Amino acid sequence: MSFYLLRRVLQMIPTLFGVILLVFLLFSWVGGDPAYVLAGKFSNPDDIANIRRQLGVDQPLLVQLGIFIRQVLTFDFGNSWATQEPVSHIFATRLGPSLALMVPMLILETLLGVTLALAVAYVRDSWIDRLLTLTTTTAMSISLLVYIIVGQYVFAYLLGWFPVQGWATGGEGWVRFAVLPVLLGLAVSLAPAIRLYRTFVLDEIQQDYVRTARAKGVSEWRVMLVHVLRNASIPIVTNVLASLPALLIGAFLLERFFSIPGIGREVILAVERSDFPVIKSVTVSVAVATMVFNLLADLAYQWVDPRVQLS
Amino acid sequence: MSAVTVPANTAPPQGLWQIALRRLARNPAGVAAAGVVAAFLVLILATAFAGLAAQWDDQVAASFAPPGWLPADPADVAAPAQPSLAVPAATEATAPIEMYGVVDPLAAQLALAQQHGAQTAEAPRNAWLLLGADKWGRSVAQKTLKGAQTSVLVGLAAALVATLIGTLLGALAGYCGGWVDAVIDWLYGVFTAVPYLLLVFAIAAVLQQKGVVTIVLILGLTGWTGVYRLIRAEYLKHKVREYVQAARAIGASHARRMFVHILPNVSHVVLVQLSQQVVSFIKAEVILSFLGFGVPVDVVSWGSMLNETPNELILGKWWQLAAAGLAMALLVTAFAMLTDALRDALDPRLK
Amino acid sequence: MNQTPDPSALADDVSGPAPTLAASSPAASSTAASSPPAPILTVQDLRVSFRTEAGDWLERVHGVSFQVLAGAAVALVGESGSGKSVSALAAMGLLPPRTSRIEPGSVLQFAGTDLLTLSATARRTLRGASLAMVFQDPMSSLNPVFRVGDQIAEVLRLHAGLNRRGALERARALLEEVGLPEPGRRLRAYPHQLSGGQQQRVMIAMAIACSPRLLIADEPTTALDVTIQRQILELLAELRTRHQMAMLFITHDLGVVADIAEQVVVMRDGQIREQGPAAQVLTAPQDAYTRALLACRPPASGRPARLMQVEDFLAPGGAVPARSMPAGSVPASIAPGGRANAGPIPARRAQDAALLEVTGLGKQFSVGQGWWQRRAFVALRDVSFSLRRGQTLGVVGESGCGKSTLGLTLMRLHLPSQGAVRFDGIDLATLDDAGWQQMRRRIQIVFQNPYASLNPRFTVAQILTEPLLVHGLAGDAAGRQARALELLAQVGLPADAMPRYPHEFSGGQRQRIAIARCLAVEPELLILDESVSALDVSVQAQVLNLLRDLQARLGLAYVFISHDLAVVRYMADRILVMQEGQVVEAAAADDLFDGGQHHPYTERLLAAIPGRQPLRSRA
Repeated sequence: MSFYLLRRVLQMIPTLFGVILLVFLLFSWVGGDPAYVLAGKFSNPDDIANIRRQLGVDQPLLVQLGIFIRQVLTFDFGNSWATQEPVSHIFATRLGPSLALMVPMLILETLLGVTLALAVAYVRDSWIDRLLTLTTTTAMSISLLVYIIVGQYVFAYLLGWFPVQGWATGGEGWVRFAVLPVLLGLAVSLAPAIRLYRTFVLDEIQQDYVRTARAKGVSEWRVMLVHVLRNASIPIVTNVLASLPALLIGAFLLERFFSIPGIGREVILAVERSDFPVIKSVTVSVAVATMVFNLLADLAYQWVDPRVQLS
Repeated sequence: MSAVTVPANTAPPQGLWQIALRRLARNPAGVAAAGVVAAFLVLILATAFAGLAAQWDDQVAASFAPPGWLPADPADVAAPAQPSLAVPAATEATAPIEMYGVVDPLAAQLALAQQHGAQTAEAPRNAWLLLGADKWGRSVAQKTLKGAQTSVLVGLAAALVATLIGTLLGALAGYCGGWVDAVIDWLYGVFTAVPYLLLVFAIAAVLQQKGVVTIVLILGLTGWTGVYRLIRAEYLKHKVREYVQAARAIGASHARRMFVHILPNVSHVVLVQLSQQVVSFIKAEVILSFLGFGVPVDVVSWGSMLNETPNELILGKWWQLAAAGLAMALLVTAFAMLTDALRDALDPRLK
Repeated sequence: MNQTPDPSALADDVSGPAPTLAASSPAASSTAASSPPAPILTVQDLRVSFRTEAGDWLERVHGVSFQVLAGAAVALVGESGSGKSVSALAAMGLLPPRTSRIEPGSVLQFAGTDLLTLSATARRTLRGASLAMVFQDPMSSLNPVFRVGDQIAEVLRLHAGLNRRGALERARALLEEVGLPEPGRRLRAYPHQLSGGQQQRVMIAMAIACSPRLLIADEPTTALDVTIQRQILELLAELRTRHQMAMLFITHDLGVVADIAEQVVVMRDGQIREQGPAAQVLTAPQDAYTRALLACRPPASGRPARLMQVEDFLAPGGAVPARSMPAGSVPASIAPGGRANAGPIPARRAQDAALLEVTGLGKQFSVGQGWWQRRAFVALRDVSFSLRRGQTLGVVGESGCGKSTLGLTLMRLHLPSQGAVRFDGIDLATLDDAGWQQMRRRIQIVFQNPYASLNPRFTVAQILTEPLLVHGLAGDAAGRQARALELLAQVGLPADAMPRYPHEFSGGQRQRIAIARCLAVEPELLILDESVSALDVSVQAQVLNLLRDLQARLGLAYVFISHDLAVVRYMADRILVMQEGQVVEAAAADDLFDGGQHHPYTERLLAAIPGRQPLRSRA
């Protein structure tokens, strides 16, 4: 097992290097000269040269690459170009609110999604199933934007049940400010989750071992909840784990609308302001997180599916 | 000779596509969805080539004018004929007003504007104003049509690019295996390590010049990963099938096996993927345009329309949100249902 | 095959060793059986319909009626599509509810209770406890994520009310009863850790756990090797005796019927053609179809020039038995050098020279284990033989013996690791790509699975013209079309097959198309890799007849690979017996079956042929 872990970690290195290379090429080569952006509207050549020297962009490309790699390894990306706040500090403070949104959303989405998917699979091929398919398809087609705009307008502004925007640290943030964003996020992500989990469950129901279970006289409930669910949980678990890092960024719209100081909102601000250090650091960090979570998903896969032997 | 009397088969040949078309025709939801999509495509072609909604940028109504079919609100006033903002010749007997010895340079125009405002009568409502007007008095209906063109063309073009890249890379990786597979897999790993939207944001942040082509390329060059993985799995599956072995035994070359033998067996997957990609790219483009990272300002998109809506809602003007939201929901639902129907119809449950 | 027990002897001693199990039918009571045993399953006028894609209902079982008496063994025989499995599933109540329905007027009774009017709960109580079923493919029929012991225990906890510990103990005893070695360890195993035969034993253990009164076995041995098949059949017979349960055994193999059942029901196309005591039906069948089924099998002795086919029996005028021919003789109709037109034919040598000479052929696959280690898996070891033009070499063995690898290596679909292959004097290892392209015109292969070996997206025309295209034969498009039509005629298919797709044809027809595809390049050697194994018996006869015809007309040499000894015996002039990659015996076909001394493995294979020897029960 440890051998397998070692092998996977070593496999991550070329991928990580690829990500570094990609980010570097993107920002340092395609991205052109940030000095003009930073110097502001009224600049003179001296200022620009100065800024270039400070940023290190007057060095040859390979040297810059080396510097970037060192930055990644030490997780020290310098300061934000816009606010001069150290990037690592940005991370430390913004991670909390993002997680406060993501974790409840993920848990609720999985629980509700699996339950509803099982229920839907139970009534498959009936008119309820078709109606539900239509409903989920329509729900998925309405843009996330519309949900948030309308939700924010109706529930926060008109009805006043929730605060329109804002955040508070600690428990108050969770209880007061996170509720509406989480509910809206759920409304959006529940439909595709149900569809996906329904597919997993239906795939399992058609298998031969279900016929054997019925031949043994097992009740339909037990067939679904014990036999089918246990098998369907394999793709569900791996799907949940593998989608975790993407959720960090997926919540960015919620953070932006509700002014929640999370990582997603930082990224949007950084893009608007061409704040390269922030974007670069977030990209690389999320890439590393994705690779780690993929590894966790594979390990979980082995734990959940006895047929798999990780060699 | 051991001839077998096979009864004459008078039914038409049943290729996959014929069977699929028949199955699709039997699916009422699929037919309805296909109809809606076709209607949209017709409208979009008209917008793109026949000049429909070409003057979307013109001001045709007062700011925030409500839709024409709503009961008239006496507080709203229809647009006057283009108010002239030209400086009136100082010929009238409007002597420069003197206040404390300072001449007010704008006094004459102010007086003229006030005159105009008082004069304007109830002009007839603009019939084209089916969905109201936005902040600058532009027709929301025309903007919706033009926005449909933008979003759908971007979605289609990006989906084509992404599907093409994904299919080619998937075929190569799945069929060739070995180091080709390893290199392409590494590329795939790099592109999927970064969440899709983040990658798009990063690229958008870097590319200063915006344009529809740019955004098509951005979406297409980053969105091929899902297609790649599926096509690669299909090629891996088919490579060891006996009909491919038989083709090899007959002496068919690698390229022939890849594209003449296996590809037709995989094309239905490609089609379904293409359809799915169109849906997700339309949604992605809307979000990008909303944030300002998408199409440039002189191009209208559903996303840019939605950008204006939070502020409008507070003022109680809901028509732009309704128009853009509903149009998008209708098209995307229809496309998604078409995708589902296609997938069901193409399901290779052939004996 | 021809057991002659007295079917009227009902009052047999149950406990004594019974050498011919087909005779014993344990009565419900030990007193003299003056009253016949009550029927445990009554099927009367059963009609089952399935819903097509278009939405209408198509009847697939048309009024089937039969009975299974308590403690009796009934075999339900038919080819694919005959409705035998559907009837069994209907009795169990396992038909898919939304796409199938049992038509009103059908009667299904279990021990006197009407099954169709029972509530779902009552039916469920019966299933698994009084009425049990064993399915065909044990690997997919077992839940892959639960341990074997837990799956058996589930039945016990459900129906016998045992707690977990008690159920597991009982499960252990059951595993021992079904002959699984190390039952304690196997309790904790997952299905994929067991072999096919072991998995099937587990399924059987699950089925008999609550001592059901009726066990339905749906082709339980079809997916298993021949020797394992025999063991499972013996096990089933023994369990039947010990638990005094009735058995409904579904199969397509008439040889198996003789071993295991007293009563036989023959079905075709959803109807019963004949039913009665096994001894009678198998020796003196009344129905033409039953006679055809029996006659289509390659006979145990003699080698007719042509196998009987179902059509021969069903056509008016009855059957005409074929003449026997000794092995090795060349049928008079062969025309020396008779081949179809077109294409330069390389100079051929004298008829007697060896066409194919294989010396010391070996093949290893390296299987990765861990990061650095690679284990060598030896698929072929030191295989040598020679084959003359127009002759057939039979290669026989069980799964994993390397016979398929041999075929694929000869076709260069695998690269040999050691040894030499000479074809018509040319050393194949010296050929470059262009040389191999030429060689592919001379050696061709027909695969096993007719459903997978034809490209589903190609029309028949495309399939047949593809080899012509690749090798540049037959001129232009019109020439290729004409040649394709010729090929169709050679394999007995009509011209209107050209624009059709493979899925519109049956398994036998697809194999014909596959054969036609091979013939397009005018090969001299044809490798038949289990080419008839997936076909029904009657269809198999057709294809075998076709192959012999082609051999006679075109002078083809065959390497005939199969696990079915009877078929190989019919087709081959010489036979290689393979085990674990090695040739354990090579002999002329007739010599192998003469009853003399052979390699132990050959003996086992011969003994396992269904119907050749009576089943032994484990004392």
